[in-house]
Order: sequence, then C-alpha cells, then structure tokens
Amino acid sequence: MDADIVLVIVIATALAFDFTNGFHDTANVVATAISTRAMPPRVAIGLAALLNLVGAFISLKVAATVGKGFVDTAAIDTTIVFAGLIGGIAWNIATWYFGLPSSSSHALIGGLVGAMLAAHGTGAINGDGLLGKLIVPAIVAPVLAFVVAATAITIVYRIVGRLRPGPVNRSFRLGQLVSGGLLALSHGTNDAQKTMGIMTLALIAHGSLRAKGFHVPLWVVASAASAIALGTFSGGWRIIKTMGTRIIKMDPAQGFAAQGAGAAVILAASGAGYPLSTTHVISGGIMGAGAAKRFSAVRWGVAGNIIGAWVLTLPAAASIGALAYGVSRVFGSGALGPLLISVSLLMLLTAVFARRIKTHSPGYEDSLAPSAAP
Amino acid sequence: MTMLAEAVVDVDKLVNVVLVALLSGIGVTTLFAIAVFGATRFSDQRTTGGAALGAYACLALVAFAGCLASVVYGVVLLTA
Repeated sequence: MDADIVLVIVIATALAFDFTNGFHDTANVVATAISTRAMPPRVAIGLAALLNLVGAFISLKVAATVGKGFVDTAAIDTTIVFAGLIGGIAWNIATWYFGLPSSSSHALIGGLVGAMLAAHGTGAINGDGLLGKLIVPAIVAPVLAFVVAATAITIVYRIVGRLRPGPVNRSFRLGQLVSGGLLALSHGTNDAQKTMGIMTLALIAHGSLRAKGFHVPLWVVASAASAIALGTFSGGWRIIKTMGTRIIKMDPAQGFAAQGAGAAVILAASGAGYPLSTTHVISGGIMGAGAAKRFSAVRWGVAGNIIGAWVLTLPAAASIGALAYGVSRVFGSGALGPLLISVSLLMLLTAVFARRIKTHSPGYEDSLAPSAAP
Repeated sequence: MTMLAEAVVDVDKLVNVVLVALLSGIGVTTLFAIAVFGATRFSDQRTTGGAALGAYACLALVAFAGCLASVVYGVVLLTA
C-alpha cells in the first residue's frame, strides 16, 4: 500500500516537473521569434506548446538513456526517484524566480544522482554514462550550436547582405515560423523524454514494469507530452526577456540562424539518445548568431551569469536531491516522508507564487513609495 | 587521458551528431537564404522584366523546395 502511494506521488511529482520544465523552457523556444517580431507572443507560445506535444511522441531514445544510463536500475527505489525529482523541481523554481535560464535537464539528472548518492553511495552511479552521455555532450552541444549559427549567419549575410532589408527581414520572419516550430518540436523530442525516463524508472522500481528492455508505456508518453505542452503554454515571461533581448538584439536572419542551429543540434542529439539542455543549446545559437555579426554586440556579462547558473545546476540539484532523500528517510521507508515533503513544497510554491502575484499587482509599487504627507 | 575519454565516450556517435548538425543547420539556412535572394531579386526586377526574371524565380523555388525537403527528410529520419 505504502509503495503504491509513493508511486502515485512520484508520478504526480514527475508530471509537475515536466510542467515546470515546459514553463521554464518556454523562453528557449519562443524568445528569438518574439524579439524579432516574427510572431506575436501568444501565437509563438501556442505554436510552441502544440509542437512540444507532437515532438514528445516522435522518439524515445532519450528516455531510455535517462532511465538506464546514469544510475543502477537494480538499486533504484521510488523514494530515490521522488527525491531526485524534488531536487530538479526546487532548482527549476529557484532559477525561474531569479530569471536565470539554467538547465532543467541537468537539474533533473543532478537531483537523481544526488538522491542515489545519498542512498547507495558512488557504487550505484554510472560515472562512465554520466561523462559519456551527459557531460561531454553538454559541453559539445552549445559550442556546436554556436559554430553552426555563426557559420550559417555569415553565409546568409554574404548571400543577402546587399539586398533591400525590408523584403529580406520579412522573408526571414516568415522563415522563423518554421525554424521556431522545428525548435519547439526538437524540444519535445528531448525534454519530455527525460520525464518519461524518470516515470518508467519509478514503475520499474515499483515492480510494475520489468527492467529488461526498458519499455515506456503509452500512457507515460501521453501524460508527459501533455504536461510539458501545458507548461509551455503557461509561459515563462520573465526568462523570455533574458533570452530574447538581454543577450543580444537580433535581426530576423539572426533569429532564423539561431533557431535553425538549435533545432539541428537538438534533433541530431535526440536521434542519438543524448539528453541535452535546450537552454544551453539555444543560448549557444543566439550567441553564435550575434557574435558573427559583431563580437561586441553580444552582452557577454549576461552570458556569463547564465554560464554561472549552468555550472551550479548539477551540484546544486544533486545536493537538494540528496537532502530530500535524507529528510524522507527520517520518517521511515514508507509514504510519510514523500507526503510531507510534497505538502511542504506545495505550500512553499503557493507562497512564492502569491508573493509574485502581489509584487506584480498594479498598486504594489505605489504602496512602497515614501508617503508625501509630513 | 585521451584513451580514457575514448573508452567512455562513443566517439563515432558523437562525431555523427556533430556532422549531422553542421550539415543540416548550415545547409538548410543557406538554402533558405538562396531562396530569399531569388525571391527578392525576382520582386525587384518584375517591373523591368528580362531573362533573369525566370532564373530568379526558379532559383527561389528550387532553393525553397530543397529547404523544405531537407526539413521533412530530417524529421522522417528521426521518426524512423
């Protein structure tokens, strides 16, 4: 009975993570299209949500990598999976609050690794898998996106540089409907998969699925796809500002090149089963498209802040995951620990969102101003 | 260190990803730029006419078709 309750909590938490992933990563997909005025924000976000949903059904290779590539599936249990998710969600919320586009994927995997470390030590961690399938691709991917975008935009300017800007910009804005759509599709093929991998891992730990073969049930695919699409639709306006305009102001051709580079890298990696950070990749693409036009046009300071958040993500999420596991175990091996942590997290989130709504309400800033009366 | 990295990382797979991303990312963007070039030149020369008009139109159509075909092929490949 306890095991069933923990499984339900884990599945619900995984879907909540997937929702926050979509919410957190909306900016990656739509920021360039909005900043170049290729499409209005609501249209961009709606299209991104729809294509995220479609993309999630296309490939399951990344789910398999996440599910069995980093930790020993024989040593996993539902409490470890739960604690890993808490690590990922908590870091996602923290970076969302401060407007930093960090990696949801690394937060999730970091949380899982941290929880596993707390439970079983280093012996249960697949270090080779972490290095070969996560860390190395994580370093290669944004650099690759940078190079692809920089090369592509250099070629584009050679071809269209002497034409009238009006028709060129209009054409590339139209093109961004496709490049933005591809980017959203690629996001679905990579990000939703991680949650599917985690959910399948939980089902294996519970005994509902066999570990051999790593089969992802259709209901897992459908629910994860829906959660990320809903999260995407809910948007993440705060991060959109950072991604779209604070890194670099760009023209439609740069936006097209950046989105095309991002989609190419993510789709290629999804085909190989590499779980990537879409945040890293699209940021690399944006910087590449910007730097090729004018190196100083890129606001490297903002880029530096983003890199700082990325470097912190794996260890921070791992620490939170380990802590969540430890706290859960204080209440025994049953469902009480996960239940209490879930309720506490929900209360914290409610408080955070309530404060956010209050500080963004029309009369709030006026109420902070010094009174004119003596 | 290099041998350790090679033992851990599937180099062939990684190189494949890099090549596919380079080819598709740069290739599709280039094709689209050629299509934009052809379409803009066609639009500019519509009033003056001339043999080049047809050439620019063909260039735009072929480049755009190539762009679209590449995208569809890539998605089909991934689905397969």
